[in-house]
Amino acid sequence: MATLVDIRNLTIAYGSAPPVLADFSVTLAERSLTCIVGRSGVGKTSLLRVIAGLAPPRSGAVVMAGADGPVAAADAVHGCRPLALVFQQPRLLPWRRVIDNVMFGLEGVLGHDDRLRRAQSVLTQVGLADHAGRWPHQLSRGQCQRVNLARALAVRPRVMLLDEPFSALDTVTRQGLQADVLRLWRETGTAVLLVTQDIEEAVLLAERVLVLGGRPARVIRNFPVTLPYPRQRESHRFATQVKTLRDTLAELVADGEGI
Amino acid sequence: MKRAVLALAGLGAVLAVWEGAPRLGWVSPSVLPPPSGLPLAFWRAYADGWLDAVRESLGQYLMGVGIGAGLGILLGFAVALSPRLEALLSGPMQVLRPVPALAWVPVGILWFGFTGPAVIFVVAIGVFGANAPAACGAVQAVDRELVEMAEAYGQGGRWSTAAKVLLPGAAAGILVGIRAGLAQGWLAVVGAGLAGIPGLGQRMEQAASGHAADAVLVYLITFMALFGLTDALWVLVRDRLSAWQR
Ligand SMILES: Nc1ncnc2c1ncn2[C@@H]1O[C@H](COP(=O)(O)OP(=O)(O)O)[C@@H](O)[C@H]1O
Ligand SMILES: [Mg+2]
Repeated sequence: MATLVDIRNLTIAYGSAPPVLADFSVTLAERSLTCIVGRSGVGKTSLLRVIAGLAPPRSGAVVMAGADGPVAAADAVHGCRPLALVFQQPRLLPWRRVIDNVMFGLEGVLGHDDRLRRAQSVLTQVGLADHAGRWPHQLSRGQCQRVNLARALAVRPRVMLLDEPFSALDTVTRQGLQADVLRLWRETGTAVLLVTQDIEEAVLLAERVLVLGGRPARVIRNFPVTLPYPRQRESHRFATQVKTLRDTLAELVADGEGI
Repeated sequence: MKRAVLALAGLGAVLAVWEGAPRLGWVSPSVLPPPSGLPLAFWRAYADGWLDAVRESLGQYLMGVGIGAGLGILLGFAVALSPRLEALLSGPMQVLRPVPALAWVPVGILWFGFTGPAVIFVVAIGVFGANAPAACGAVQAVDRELVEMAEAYGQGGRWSTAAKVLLPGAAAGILVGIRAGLAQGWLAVVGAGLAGIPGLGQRMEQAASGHAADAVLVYLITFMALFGLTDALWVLVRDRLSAWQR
């Protein structure tokens, strides 16, 4: 598939501290679903923030197909934004109703009626059509995270960046949302880059798992998941892939790769 | 319901004691006039231009509150968003903060004479003093993650962030400052009057100098009612703006 996002030689650093990530290169294909795993503090959130244009890299670039210069999530073309970030915490505006939260990213991009239509259809996609008029505090955690997802989908991103989106949810809710993400990924054709600590989640969702490790961090393993969708958690092959990835990680730790 | 009944009963008891004390000769009516005499006293005050005084003082009050709150909130915002401005203003603020609000009355008289603008000035200073720090603190306390979210969704410009995240996020804290400012403002109106600037406060002071206890009470009740009214308006606005919390 054609390359959508080309991340070239990124180095990310805070102030004068040694870089968090150095000389980091990865490409994301159109419609691909990539998971990133790595211990906390390795630099996953920093990476997503730089890709989204919320922070500048020290060096290197993120190039999107068809764009002349650097691209940020905040840019808008024809009622869409190139990237959308789904935060770990929902970060909904508590003083806005659900529907107005979903329309947030479209303000200044579409007129009110188009925003409303788009938001309604996205809320339907995430199964919250009848919660449009609620306040965020009237929703469960899982529902808030669905709204977070809907707000991202509403801008019709070419690539969606998700930062440990399900880590604060209970198992049942998490599995429901994982299924939703898979379905939405296929329905919308957006590319997905999802950060997770959960090996099983990575194997369930990803076409490819990137293992981040070391200091400064880099991709220390590029692990393709060859199972067809939909994947069955109970299946033997699923368990085998999870085990293989776990063993790989354990080996890397043993080898002092410092995951 | 029970509570309301008890509250009314309490009020009735106070009125009864108040009415009884001067009638039974416990206190002189020139010290504490009975409430039954109030309607007549009120009528006399009314014939003496009470309504004009209310209008005048309320106008000055609202003007002063508007100016003081407006400038206070603006400056609070600016200071919260600019560390440089905060550093610059921290010195003057340290010096000015301990000045009691009523100490500005003579300054107002000095600059504006015994006039309406002097009252407006003193009210505005008091309201400003309550609003600026409240607004600054409220804006600083807005969740920075929401600001970053706004940036990620293309609303990161200075004005859209201010209007869509900072202002609504700080609204509750700003409102607390406004309520304190509303009380400060009435204090300033009374203070300005006692110092001899024409208005409700001055009339009250004149009534007291003339030993017209019932007239003093009329003006006391007038201030109570005005303060109650502005505070009730505040509650109304607060309830509207915080609908999302319930
Ligand atoms: N705003 C910041 N200022 C300074 N250092 C930071 C900042 N944000 C993150 N870091 C550091 O960068 C490293 C990576 O953080 P982060 O990207 O949040 O990791 P992860 O998301 O993988 O847990 C950590 O060591 C963290 O302390
Ligand atoms: Mg993180």
